[in-house]
Amino acid sequence: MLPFMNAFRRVPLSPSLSKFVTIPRRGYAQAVQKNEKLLLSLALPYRTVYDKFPVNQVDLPTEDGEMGILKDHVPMVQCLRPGVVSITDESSAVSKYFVSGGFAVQQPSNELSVTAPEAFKLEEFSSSVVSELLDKYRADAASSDEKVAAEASVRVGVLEALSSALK
Amino acid sequence: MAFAWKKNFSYSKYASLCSQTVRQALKPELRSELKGSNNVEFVYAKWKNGTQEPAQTYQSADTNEQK
Repeated sequence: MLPFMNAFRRVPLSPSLSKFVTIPRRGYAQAVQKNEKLLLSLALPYRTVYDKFPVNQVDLPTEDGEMGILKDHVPMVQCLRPGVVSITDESSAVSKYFVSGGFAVQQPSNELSVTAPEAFKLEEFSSSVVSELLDKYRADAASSDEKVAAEASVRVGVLEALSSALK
Repeated sequence: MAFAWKKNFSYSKYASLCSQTVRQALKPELRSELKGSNNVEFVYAKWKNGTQEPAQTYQSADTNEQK
């Protein structure tokens, strides 16, 4: 028998018609093809930083803590905190991006998909601007207006993570 | 504490606060390149007693520059 004879079946084009069409035979779901290397995709709404780029390790600042993802990691979805994503590529060169948050999804096919609203390399930030903003928002965080104080404390959290990353 | 922002904000508000702060902390030369990319712009009109009031425009770029 020819190898693909069972891959298709004939069904009538319409219930009472004797014309037939061949459609694929339904089978069980296929197991996912696992890639050999960890493929990183880092995307912002307006720019793609990496697109299925083979890497050795990615360090992520998640809400559950700092995580280092290697290849064959268990599939997971993580919410990211504002922090540094550290990418070690195949030549052991390390690239660091400060992300403002977002999500990281590890697929069974060894694809790691990190999406963030903003991500910039650490060299693109200015320590003096960061300390100025910290002073301003720390003052706001002590304000008696709850809404202002809550917003300012979020900003202070982001800036503190940024200033420790820039050291 | 993880997800501490849940007490006060929706995720959408928290995410926009964080991304605004990150953009503010950039070196000044790089900030001008980004000016247009995160602008939200729309036209809206309020309705009162079955009649439409004149349409107004909202541009987030103007408010962002103040921050």
